[in-house]
Amino acid sequence: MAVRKYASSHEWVELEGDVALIGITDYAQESLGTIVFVDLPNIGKSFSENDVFGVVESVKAASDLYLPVAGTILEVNEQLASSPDLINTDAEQTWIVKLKLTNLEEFDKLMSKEEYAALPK
Amino acid sequence: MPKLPLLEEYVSRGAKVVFYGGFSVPQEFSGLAKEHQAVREKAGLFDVSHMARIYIKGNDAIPFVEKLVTNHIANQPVNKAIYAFMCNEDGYPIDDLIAYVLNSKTVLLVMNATNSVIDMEWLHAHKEGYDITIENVTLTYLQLALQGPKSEMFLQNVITKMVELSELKFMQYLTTKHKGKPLLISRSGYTGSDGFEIYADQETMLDILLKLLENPEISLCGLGARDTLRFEAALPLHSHEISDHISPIEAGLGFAVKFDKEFIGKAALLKKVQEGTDKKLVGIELIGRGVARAEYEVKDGDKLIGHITTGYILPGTTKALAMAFIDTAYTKLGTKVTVMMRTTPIEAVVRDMIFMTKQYKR
Repeated sequence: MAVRKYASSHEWVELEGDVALIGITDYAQESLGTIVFVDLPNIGKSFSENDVFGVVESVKAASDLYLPVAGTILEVNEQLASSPDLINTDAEQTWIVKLKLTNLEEFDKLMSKEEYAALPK
Repeated sequence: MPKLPLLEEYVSRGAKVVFYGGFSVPQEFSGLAKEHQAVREKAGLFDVSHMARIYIKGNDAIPFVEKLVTNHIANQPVNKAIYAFMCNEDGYPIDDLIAYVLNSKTVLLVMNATNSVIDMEWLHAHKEGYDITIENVTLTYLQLALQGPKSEMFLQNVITKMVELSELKFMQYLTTKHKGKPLLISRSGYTGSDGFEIYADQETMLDILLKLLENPEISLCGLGARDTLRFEAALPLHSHEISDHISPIEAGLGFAVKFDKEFIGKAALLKKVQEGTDKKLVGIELIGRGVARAEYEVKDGDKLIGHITTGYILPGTTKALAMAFIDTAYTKLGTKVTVMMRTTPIEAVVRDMIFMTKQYKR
């Protein structure tokens, strides 16, 4: 069964086995405003924990996307190429990348939904 | 730290506040995209009191401003709002501005917030020999902008019936009274839509603001939308499209530079007109996917040919548009160039800067 956790850098990570879907939180999309472009990584690329794996561009600015867990990109959400504002419509259900995790312990360190909600923002 | 005099009013109405030009100002209310659309379709209200308002007063007010700016000041039609540049000796703008010649001894200059300190220094440095005083009234004489196709009707509803806004054309102003206090209304703005800029003291402005906001069809707008709107209208922003290395000639704004008068920077600008310039401001449209942001490099292969000055994917569109300052050799419409989006080269093409048709009342 999939388990979802949250990072203080405003990404969510939903893990099943050693594969995770990663997106940004509703708070993050709200702060960014209308998203007009998502710069996605190449499939097969490996990243360390806290690496920048992509860029999300709102009307006003470009913001880096941080990977809260290390891993290798298995898939990217191709829908975002034509409809980047899907993230505004439903951030918590719109995954950006699918990742094979390098180290499952990094996932355990992330926050629960309640802990993330209690974070001062 | 100075704050916008009516800031609390905006915070109470949901403003997200940012620091800009020495002031805490509203960046956004209902959301940039909605605010942009509100201005294009109905009416948006901006408090632009962070702009610098400076009175030049005295017997030599008109000759002094005439000497400092590029456009005609003396002997102009009454009630004309005059767009001009205040340039250094090399022809590069210290700032751009709107001048209101209120009478033979008073000129009101409206300049950029971010340049206000430098503007004041420049004005003071050149006043010798002129019988004038320079008075910065930014904090006591406020400025609102009501922009959008319904602006005339909505503004007329809250001001005296003694004036008819329909008689004002683009870049004309009138002066009147509101509850006994002076009010200046100018048919101008920074959005490419029809609209007005309103000048008054704080008490008068608050009264007008509250009356306007009783109208549910008027949206409060922040500086975020102000920038996307001015970009879509290809209006220059100082430090982007005009700067200490982009003159009005290179930016294609020669209409506000008059060579049949004397002004600081004239010789340098005339030379640029006569000899041509190495670089020019152009429109850019990305062919590849991405967003061209200010300061991104523009290249031909490995050769750096210029930089983006402002760029957006505008709300409700999918095209990545930009203005860019590039080598003249590449400015022919349709020329293929590359924009470096961070480390990724994106294919792009040089185009005109007509991103929209301006909706001014002529």
